Amino acid sequence: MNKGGKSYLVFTSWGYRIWGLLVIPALLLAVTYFIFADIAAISSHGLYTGGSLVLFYEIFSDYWLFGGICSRQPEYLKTSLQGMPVLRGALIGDLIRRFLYVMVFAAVCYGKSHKPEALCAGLMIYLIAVGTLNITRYLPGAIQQMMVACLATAVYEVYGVVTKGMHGGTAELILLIAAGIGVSIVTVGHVLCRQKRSYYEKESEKGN
Amino acid sequence: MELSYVIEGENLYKKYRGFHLDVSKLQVPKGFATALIGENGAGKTTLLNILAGIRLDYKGQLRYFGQYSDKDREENPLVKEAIGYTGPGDYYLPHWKIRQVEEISSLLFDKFSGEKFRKWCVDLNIIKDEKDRGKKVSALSDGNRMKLMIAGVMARETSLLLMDEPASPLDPLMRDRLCEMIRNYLCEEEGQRSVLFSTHNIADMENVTDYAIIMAGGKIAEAGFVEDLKEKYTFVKGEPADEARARAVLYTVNTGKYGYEGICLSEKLDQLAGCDIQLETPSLSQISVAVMKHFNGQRG
Repeated sequence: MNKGGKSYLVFTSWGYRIWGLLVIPALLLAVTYFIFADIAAISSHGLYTGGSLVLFYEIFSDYWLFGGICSRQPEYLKTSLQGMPVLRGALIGDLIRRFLYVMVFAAVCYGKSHKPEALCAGLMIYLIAVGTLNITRYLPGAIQQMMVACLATAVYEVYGVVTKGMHGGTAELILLIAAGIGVSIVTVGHVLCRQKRSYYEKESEKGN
Repeated sequence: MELSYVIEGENLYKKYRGFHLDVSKLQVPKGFATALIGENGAGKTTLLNILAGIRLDYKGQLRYFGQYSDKDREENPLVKEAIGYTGPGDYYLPHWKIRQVEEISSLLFDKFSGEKFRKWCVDLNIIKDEKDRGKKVSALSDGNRMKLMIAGVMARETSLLLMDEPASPLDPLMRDRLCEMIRNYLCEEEGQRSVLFSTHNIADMENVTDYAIIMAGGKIAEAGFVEDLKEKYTFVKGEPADEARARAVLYTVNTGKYGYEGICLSEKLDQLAGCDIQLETPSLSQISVAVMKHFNGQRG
């Protein structure tokens, strides 16, 4: 496995690998396949209700992975010149994983509903989830992150209602892909920037 | 024997929130255990953070192992690989488990040994056996967290340890163990390894300290080998009648029922000629307190 993959995995505990990467996603996939995708074939509500669950999971699960990393900068990573590359590898690996998982949801919904809107809904989940991480990574507590995740799912549902019947164009897909790439770059850069800024003590308390 | 230095610093300066670190000259001898002593707020953590490369907002020049600059420290992996740092604050992410600390360490450092790390964790009673690595960092006590950091640096091949208040959260038994670990670490490479640790309670670490750097108010107030400092300063006990005269000479004066006692420079003892005094070799702790008080008194 390359160093990027290893960098991502070292941030994951065995519990996270089992529950966060396998069990819960498998449950969500099953619920999507047997319930929401069938609903999506009849009404778009299936996409957004099922998508909300996936979105909530994608935001809240970050608590067990990076644990509010922007609110604390682990000094240990600064004791090695490999610290920033390892952190970068972990952040990028996490985004790749998220994109794949969200697009599996979208593909299952598309497969059953044959609605191109499913792909847009998947990309929007990715966009909102990754964008929200720029907030939740400042929150060290689980309850705080859960509340933000709930708000984000509300935004997603509103998006679904407001844009009903407006989907399906290639332009929308391209726009969402471009926005997804942009938000990914910003999200990775944001954490790395916070880590780099922690080398400079502008707001520190008086030293010992 | 010619003395070489593992760290040399010149004109190190850092300012923030009304505090100034201002070290015109820093020398940490190679092959010895150096104690960086100072009260809270003296600048010990600030200085150690600069030396470890944890903080980069400072001015001045640094030289490591006689040849590498601080720029080399940030660009040449060999330099940081050779330095082990333990410190307070957010060192690990709290939700990391001990197993994750081992995995991350093996990615961060080429010469990290997982086997040694697991052995140290068991040896230091952080875990009961090598399989029991599922504990979270946040579930560890302050003392166990410090021991975990120590296990992490001891599992690497380093030439310099920078340790910020390593003894503070440890129980007396573990402090003694830490002193033994430092002695063994220095002995293993026959003078090629060095340790710089900070402490505000030198009494616990005095038996392992070879060289002392005493800080006060962001500056170095005194530095030297412990044996030399014990010759440079003398602990004086005298009669109440001579106290007024002694106050002009002693750095610090403690008055009791039976007289006074305090520390003075040995070269000034002749100014107490004729006084009924008793002289003793001071401890490093006594020297440190006297120097810090004298330095803070001079600053006003």
